[in-house]
Amino acid sequence: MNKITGKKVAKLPYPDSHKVADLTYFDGPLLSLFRDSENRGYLYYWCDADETYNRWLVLPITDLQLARYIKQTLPLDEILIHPVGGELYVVDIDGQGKHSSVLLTHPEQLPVDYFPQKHTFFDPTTTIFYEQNTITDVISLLLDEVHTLRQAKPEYPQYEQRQLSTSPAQISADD
Amino acid sequence: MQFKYSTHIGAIEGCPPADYHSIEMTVYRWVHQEMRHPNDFLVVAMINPRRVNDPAIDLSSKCKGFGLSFYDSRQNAQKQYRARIAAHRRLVESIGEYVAEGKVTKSDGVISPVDKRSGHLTFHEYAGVDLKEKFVIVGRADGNE
Repeated sequence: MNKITGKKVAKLPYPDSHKVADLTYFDGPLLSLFRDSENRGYLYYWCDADETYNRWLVLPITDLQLARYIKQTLPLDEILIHPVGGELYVVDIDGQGKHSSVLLTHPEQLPVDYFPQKHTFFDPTTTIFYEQNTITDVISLLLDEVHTLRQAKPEYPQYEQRQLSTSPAQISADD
Repeated sequence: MQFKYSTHIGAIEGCPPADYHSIEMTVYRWVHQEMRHPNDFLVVAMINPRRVNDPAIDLSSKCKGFGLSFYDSRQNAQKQYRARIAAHRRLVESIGEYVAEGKVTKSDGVISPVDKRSGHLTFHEYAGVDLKEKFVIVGRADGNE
């Protein structure tokens, strides 16, 4: 993996956060939403791996950003390239979930291919939810967006035609 | 029939799920060039390092982690590949750049229902099955032949 320039920190400053959804899941998590005890949101975005660690970009996400991402009006690349406060964490995590190196850095310090291509929008076909509240929130956001679009454009197609589903991709990863 | 990872999935309730069935079906999977990579037909729970960002939700304790990902058509495999690589560009090194086609039979294992939105399937192999022998590369995974 690439050597990253940044400020080394002992650990992530989000000690009581836990995963509520994998917004992208393929053979394991690729983009996860965490929440802390005060319901603040954090993204874990997979960007690289070697023989020992997977590397993640970890950053806060506001509810407004999350809503726009779910509604497919804010691309993932914009969220990652312009993190809240201008900085994000680069964390190497082993196969047991143990954090190794934690660096605080700026997006411009990272390789270009650590980030998504431009205009990469939310894809609901690969999402797994771990909490009922998160499912409800996401469906509400999608329904709001369709309602808005229908008001602006009555001929706006049904969900099925847009390949969106009112049902979450999966309720849990236990199947 | 005994499953390939029965020692791991034996303690996982309902694994494989009851709606998985043995059928004959042509399926598609992303692989590396000439299918030489050791992970090309290895289930994710056995790949090191596993992708774990919350130890409370680890694939090694999930049934899904012991199944192989397939797609029901070459087009769906390529469409999903393009989406995954656009969002995670370094994933190419892990999942390869090609799509392989193979026919699984009733004696190979059990397969999930098709995810209608993506064409994704999960396949649990029986012990002694070597799926690599049944697959051939049919093109680039991104569809750019």
